[in-house]
Amino acid sequence: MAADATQQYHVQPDALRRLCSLPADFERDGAEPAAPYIGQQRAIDAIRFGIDMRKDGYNIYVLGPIGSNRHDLVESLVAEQAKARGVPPDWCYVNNFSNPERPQALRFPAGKGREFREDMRDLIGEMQLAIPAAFEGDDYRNQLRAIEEDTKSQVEEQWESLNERAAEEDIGVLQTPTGYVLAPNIDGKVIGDKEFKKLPEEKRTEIEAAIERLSEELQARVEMMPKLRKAHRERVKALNEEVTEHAVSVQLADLKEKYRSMPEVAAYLDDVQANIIRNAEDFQQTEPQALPFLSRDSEQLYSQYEVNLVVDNAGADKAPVVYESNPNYPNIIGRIEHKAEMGALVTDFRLVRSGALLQANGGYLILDTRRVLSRPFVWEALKQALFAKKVRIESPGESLGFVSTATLKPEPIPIDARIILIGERWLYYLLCHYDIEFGSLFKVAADLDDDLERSDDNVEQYARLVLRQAKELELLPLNTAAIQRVIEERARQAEDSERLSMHMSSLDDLIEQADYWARQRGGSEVDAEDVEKALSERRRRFGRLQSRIIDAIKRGTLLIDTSGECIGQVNGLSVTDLGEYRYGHPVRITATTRVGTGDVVDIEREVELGGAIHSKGMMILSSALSARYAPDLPLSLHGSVVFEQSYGGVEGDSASVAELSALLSSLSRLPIRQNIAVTGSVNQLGRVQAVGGVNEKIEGFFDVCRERGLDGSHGVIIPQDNVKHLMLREDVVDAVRRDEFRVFAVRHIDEAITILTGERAGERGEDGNFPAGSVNALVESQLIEYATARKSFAREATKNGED
Amino acid sequence: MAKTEMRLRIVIAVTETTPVARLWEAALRLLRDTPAELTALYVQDDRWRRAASLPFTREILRSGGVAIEFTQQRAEQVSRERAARVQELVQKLAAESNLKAAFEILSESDAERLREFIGSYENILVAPSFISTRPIFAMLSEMNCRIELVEAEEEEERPAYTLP
Repeated sequence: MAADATQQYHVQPDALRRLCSLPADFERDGAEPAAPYIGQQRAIDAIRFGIDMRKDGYNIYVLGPIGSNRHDLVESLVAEQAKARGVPPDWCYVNNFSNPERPQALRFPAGKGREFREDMRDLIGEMQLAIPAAFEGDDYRNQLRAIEEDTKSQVEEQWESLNERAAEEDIGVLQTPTGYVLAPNIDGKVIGDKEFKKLPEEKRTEIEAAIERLSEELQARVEMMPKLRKAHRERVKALNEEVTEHAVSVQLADLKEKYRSMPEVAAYLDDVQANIIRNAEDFQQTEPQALPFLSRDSEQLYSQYEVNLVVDNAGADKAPVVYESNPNYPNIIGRIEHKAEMGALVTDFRLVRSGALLQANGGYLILDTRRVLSRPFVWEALKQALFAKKVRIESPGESLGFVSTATLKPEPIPIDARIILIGERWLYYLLCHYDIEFGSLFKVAADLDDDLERSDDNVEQYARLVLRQAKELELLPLNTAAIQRVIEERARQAEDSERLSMHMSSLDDLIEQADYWARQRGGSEVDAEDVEKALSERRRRFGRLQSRIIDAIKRGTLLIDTSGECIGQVNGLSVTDLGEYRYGHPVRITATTRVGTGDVVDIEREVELGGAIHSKGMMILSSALSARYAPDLPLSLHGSVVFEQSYGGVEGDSASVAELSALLSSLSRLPIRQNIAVTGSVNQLGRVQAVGGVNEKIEGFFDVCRERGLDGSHGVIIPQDNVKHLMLREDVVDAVRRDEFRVFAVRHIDEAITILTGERAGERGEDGNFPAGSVNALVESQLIEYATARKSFAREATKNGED
Repeated sequence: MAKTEMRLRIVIAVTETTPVARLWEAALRLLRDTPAELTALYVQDDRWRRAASLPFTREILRSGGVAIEFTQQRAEQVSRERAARVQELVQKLAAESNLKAAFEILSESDAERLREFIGSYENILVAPSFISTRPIFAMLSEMNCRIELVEAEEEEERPAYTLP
């Protein structure tokens, strides 16, 4: 191949790596610190819109990859708005005396909840002293004694009057342990049957009649006793209530006056007073009970008037901004705790605990989408709360109706919190697609840009950002060369020489590691060499697999030729992504052809090692073949293409130029240069299209060739559209500069095949034919030959009566 | 023939209505000067049996005022319960005084058994003053007992209804 035939495709060294050159007047020390989130104005505006919008459903989803400083961005923007929004109210749970299973929620202005809690504690303390004191006082004792005496006299009167009546009629009233017996009592002695029979008939009749009559009276009085007892109890109860009311009325009156402006609180205080009075007798128990666990102790007695402050904004000067790093159900919705008592789990309103939704009420709640979705029941519970605009604290089991055990059902608390979900894009699109409610609850999408245009202005801003990050991370200052080197690397990170990556955590990693190497050498500032050292060391740390591949190629285990020529065999390029690091390496692609029915077999797909996109690429190149050559004849080819020594999956269409080149070589019987590798996808018209990972791919082939010795013949063919993405390593650029290595950029498969075979591809002339001897003419000729042969086979078969 | 020396015994005569504690104190005073055995003699009131022998006596229950037949069996049960209650009280007093006291139950009409009980002892009988009107007092007096009467009235049977 003549040198000038490929010259036009050479990519010049300057285009292989776009160097950064900060303006001469860039003031490293005196420069204004950069805005922390340059290039993210669209996302910033979206977040501001969402947090400022007061209508329902304008919750925000921040789309961006991990490491894009999305948390810092959200928190800083929300913090600005939180100041303007003001402090939301406090919330307390108190006992619901009419239905203790449904604790009552009370709302207070910020700080007043805590005050109310303290007021109630004071009240309890005062009650604990005042109520027993009132019951121990002489006044109470005298009144109680008077009631008891009165009742006693009523009982005795009943008894004595009956006794007297009985005695008058010679009847004795005897008491058994369970009742009374009326018997004749003559001269103070109960007589038996013998003595009774001795009495005159008249006396006997009188006695029997008297016993009959007195029995009825006795029965009537017996029946009256429970009434007397009940009346006594009621009088004592009324006395106790009166005493209790007197004991607590002073303290409660003060509280009622204090909270008069809060009707719900005032009503609660009325309930407290009524409850204390209603249960006045409970407060009398000063002596320990014989079986204390069977009765309410004084702690339980007074604790029912405590206040459970679930949201406390005392001391706050802005709306709450809550980030819940572990968004499980209890941490988001809240929970009802239990404590063990006598082997049973018990709870009450004091054990209701608020979750992040309530803590963020009136403010902002920031959550990681992935964590929310991975915690059971959280997503549904969160949506339910947002739709209902209130938080109902209950266990997930209860929420889902799986648990029927009686437990607390605290009164739901209204919420007005802006939810900000932070997550990857795919999760956002997944939610949009599969959750029909998502769109109505999260109306604002704040899509963080992954990269930034590499304009002069932005480069300067970026340089300031680098300095700012170094300062924040307390690193050595970076000199201008180091900053420039960092910016170049950021372009490489963006896989585009015209853009800069906004992935902030990888920027931080790079400057931290450069700082480490600068300190290692005792430098006082970070230089470009330190940045380079950080990069090369990183490559080395992650490079075990890459070096194993190069070693396998060197030792001939992995068959890759980097010299000579071969028909139907081409060096493709593959990228392996290890997450934190990726590298490229060559892979041998071979193709074979023969007469067939027009199908090109993708062996990777046949054995289910090829992905959908790879299969699509194969079908496109098959279509490109049939469209381009012998258009009037049926494509009578059977071709097969394979990635040799590939035992893992193959995905992507970036090898379709290489695959088509191998097929064309096989058809034309023209050998392909093995010192050149190819990457790029092809469309049905033969146009070569851009692919990803182009830098790693070139470097991967360069590394293999360098191991075997660069002689100026080696190179890589890439799509012309990928040239702007080139940010190659310095050593690759230097090799190109020394004419030891080449990068070719092509727009069409014809250009690629020309470079690979050293023969012109040839364009169809006015006569409709490709120039004789050109690659395309040879390919077409072979395809016509296949078609003729197929036709001949078909005729023979028809003659023989075969299918 | 040598004269057999008789053992000394202090007998506290108690009934259903005796103020036992007062008698017990009197007995203790005697014991201080005269070491002796101590026995509580429960003189069973036969009124329950007598009342039960009548065909028309009924027990009116405290709970609800229902009237049921008062049988001999029920009379025995009531009598036993009364005796048990007094016995319990005597045992309690004895324990508090760190003494041992026997408890004997006798029917007030059973002169034969009373004689047997008194028989081989030299008895000092501590009894409530109101017992002097009972037939048993005459019987005891005849049996050569030394009787120490303690001024006491019968404990009135209070209504069994207690205040809530």
